[in-house]
Amino acid sequence: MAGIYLHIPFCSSICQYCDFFVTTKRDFQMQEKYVAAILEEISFYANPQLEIKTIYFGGGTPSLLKIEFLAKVLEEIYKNFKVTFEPEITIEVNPKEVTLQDFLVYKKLGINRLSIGTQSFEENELKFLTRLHSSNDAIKCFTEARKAGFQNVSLDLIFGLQNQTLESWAKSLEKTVELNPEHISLYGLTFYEGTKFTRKLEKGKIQKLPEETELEFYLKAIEVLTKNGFEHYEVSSFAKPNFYSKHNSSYWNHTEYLGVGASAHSFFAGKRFWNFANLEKYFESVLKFGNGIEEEEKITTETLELEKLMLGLRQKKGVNWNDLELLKQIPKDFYTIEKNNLRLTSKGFAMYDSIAEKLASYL
Amino acid sequence: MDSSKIRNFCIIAHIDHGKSTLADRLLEFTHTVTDKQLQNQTLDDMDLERERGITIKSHAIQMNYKAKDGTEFIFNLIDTPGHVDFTYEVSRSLAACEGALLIVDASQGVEAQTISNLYLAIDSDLEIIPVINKIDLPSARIPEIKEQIVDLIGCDEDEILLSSAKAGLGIEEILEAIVERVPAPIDNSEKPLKALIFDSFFDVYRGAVALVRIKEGQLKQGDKIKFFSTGKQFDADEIGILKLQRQKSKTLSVGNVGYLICNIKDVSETKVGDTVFAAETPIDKPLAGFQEVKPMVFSGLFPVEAEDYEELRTSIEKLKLNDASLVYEPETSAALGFGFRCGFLGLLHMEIIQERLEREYGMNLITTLPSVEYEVYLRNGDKLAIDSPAQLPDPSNIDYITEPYVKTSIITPTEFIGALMQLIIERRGIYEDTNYIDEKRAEIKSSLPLAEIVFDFYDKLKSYSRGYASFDYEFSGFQKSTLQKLDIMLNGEKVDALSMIVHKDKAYEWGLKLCSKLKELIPRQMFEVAIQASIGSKIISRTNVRAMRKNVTAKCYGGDISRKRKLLEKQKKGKKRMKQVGSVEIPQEAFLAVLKID
Repeated sequence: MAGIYLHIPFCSSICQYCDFFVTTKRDFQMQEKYVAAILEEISFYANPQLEIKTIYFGGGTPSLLKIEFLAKVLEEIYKNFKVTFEPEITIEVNPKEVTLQDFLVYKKLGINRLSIGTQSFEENELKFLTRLHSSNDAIKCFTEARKAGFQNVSLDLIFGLQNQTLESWAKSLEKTVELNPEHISLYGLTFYEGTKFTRKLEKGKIQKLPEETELEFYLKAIEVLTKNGFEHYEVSSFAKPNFYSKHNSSYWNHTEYLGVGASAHSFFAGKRFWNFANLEKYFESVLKFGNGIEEEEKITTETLELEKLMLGLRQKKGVNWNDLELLKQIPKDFYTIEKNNLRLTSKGFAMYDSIAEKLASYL
Repeated sequence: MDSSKIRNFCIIAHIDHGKSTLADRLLEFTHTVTDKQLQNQTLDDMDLERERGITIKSHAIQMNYKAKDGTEFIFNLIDTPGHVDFTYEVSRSLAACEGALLIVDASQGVEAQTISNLYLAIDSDLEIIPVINKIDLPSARIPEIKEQIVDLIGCDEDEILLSSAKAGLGIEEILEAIVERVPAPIDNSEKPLKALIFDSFFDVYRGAVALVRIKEGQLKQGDKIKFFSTGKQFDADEIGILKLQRQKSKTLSVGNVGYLICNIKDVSETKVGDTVFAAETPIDKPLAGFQEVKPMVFSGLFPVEAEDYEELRTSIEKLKLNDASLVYEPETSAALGFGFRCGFLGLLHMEIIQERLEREYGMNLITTLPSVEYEVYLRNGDKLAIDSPAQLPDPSNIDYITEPYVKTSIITPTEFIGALMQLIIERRGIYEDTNYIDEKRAEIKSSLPLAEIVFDFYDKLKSYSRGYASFDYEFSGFQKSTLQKLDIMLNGEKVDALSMIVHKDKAYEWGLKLCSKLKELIPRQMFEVAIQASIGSKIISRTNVRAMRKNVTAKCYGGDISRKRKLLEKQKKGKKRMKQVGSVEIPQEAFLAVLKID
């Protein structure tokens, strides 16, 4: 049982906070070449016995991929693996860059889950994030997804933007709740190394919000969303009952997955490996070896244990933990422990990195 | 070997005044080394020495010099450590010589260290040959410096030689002056053997190697010899002279300098200053001047990771083989775990040992606040010697405490006298006297508690004098003092490794400074951290580190688990370098912070 991740790096423009591997080169020739490489990789990993339960087109902006290519990729997966009955097939899309027509075709191709890059419903915030779409585009996108019959839709939200206020954040949350998606991915704005935002931050052109404010936003979101029937099932993920992202969950629960495409990561057969995050090198590697692998690492029992702690703590279900003495070094309102099941509270999730560090250092 | 053809001499100079370069030139001129062999500063062979530009341990090297009149001489150049921590070693090196080159920088003039070593040389009745070096510098002030030297040693101006070791100027004149002015060793060849150990070091293959000067009689290979201080007998397995490498010989005759190897495992058997004599001709009296070295500064050395304790022990043991002046014993700290309390000759010695442990032995260390040795007189009449705050008994049992004082000599351009007086007063010093070396420079003499110079005194001296003042000190005795133990508490728990013994008048100030420094260094954690300084049960200062509220990496998907995990592994390692006291994590820098307080 495994999942397949396909990285589609094409974007119309690059959002300044984004640190994923993306490219604005997206003409037909490029798409053709890239898809050929992906197909090559899929056949490289071919295993008709391997059950595939989830397929995820991530990016980048996978919705920029021409339909014919999307179809080819799916066909290749079906040809080379044993795709289970009713797999979860997700595609990430951006408002304004995808049409009702596209949605209808996606549906036909068997795609049954959409992840929409809404980010915010406030115009000034979208502008600040250098997104191409407006709040109305986002709403329209969601409405059309429903029209096309998608019953499992996820929205992305970002908080912690300069000039964002508790009021404007509450409005975005309210709008989100009103649309009533099945899933929400909620991110605090992070300044990643090498992004334009980080350079702007360093130059003082943009500001970071104070920690207290970010915490306030985060707790507000948890409060509003849980009150409206969403489960806070992972640090950044909320879902209606039975609508957890199965694919993402596989990352957090050590279910195997194969990643194809530039920069894609895999966890398979006791190893983690990842592809070149560089188109030339990726193509060259696929040409030579049939795969784009740059590096791999064996996951030892020790590493696995650390990962289980690290990933378990991020989730609502928590981890198994016996050392009660050590927990004294963590404030009581950050966790609950019941029959050795350690779970973080909302405040605890907000301090996840510190807590994981603390517990990890005693493994 | 005719002792009248031997000249034994050393070079006295302040750091950077060109001692090593001059030594190189002498070796070159006498063809003792070829250009190819000549690494810069040949005499300093430890990396650490080269980096710091100082000579830590003495070495010696023999040269053959054919004088202008055609007579062939043997020159033994005995290198001396240039730092105050090693005064005793310096004095023993000087005792192996008959003459000294006094090197003074043509632009910088006489410095404190030069003076103290010069006095030692004069005390040992050495013939002083003054040399002004770096005369080719544009900033050279030859007439002024000549005056300084004349004032200092009372020589005639025309006795002063001029050189530029770098440019190779004046080298032959120096060599000729050594022939003419440095007395030959006294010919005591008929007497029983007495040889002075002026240095000893550890050789991985041969064990302890003693450098000796034959004062009386002669030393033959295979002789049964004894060391006066220990009375232990050994065979002189190998003897020889010191060229660039050791060169075996059958005998070392009176007046000469060479090495002695007798299958001894560590250098504490071959004590600097000790007398070697022949077992079959016992002597009544050793050569004068032997002292057991005594540590002056103490500090705890702890491995950052507890499991490295045994490795630290082995490393210290190895260093000890080569350094008889290093003393240590196990120490336990509630905050830092198992480690060693080490005694050092002085601050530089302490830094050198720490650096060698870290660099050569790859140890990762936490060093605690250096302390001096206090004498605690108890009400019941007992006397305790303590060198760490933890050893201080309950105040109610203490009658009084004495602390070590040092006599210091500071040489400074006159414009900084006021500022330096201020520094002396700030450091609880007693000003004694000012001597003017010339119109522009003066020597300030004062008495200071050693504890006050253990903390950054040297840095302060430099900053108060814009880098111009130099300083030297020597132990002068114990004096009564009002001392208290200052404790630091984090969230109510005492951190023993941060305790210190302070003078009553300074306790409040230190408490305040320590608290604010710790506030800077202790990272925000999940809990608020209350930092308090106390004397006994009285809190004298407090501050706190706010709790962290949000620290979470938002996304953990796209399947890149490795990146997040590696970050966690790194943080986990970082955590290991933190010391846990109660619920508080203290970074190791915090333990050093107390050293860096203004």
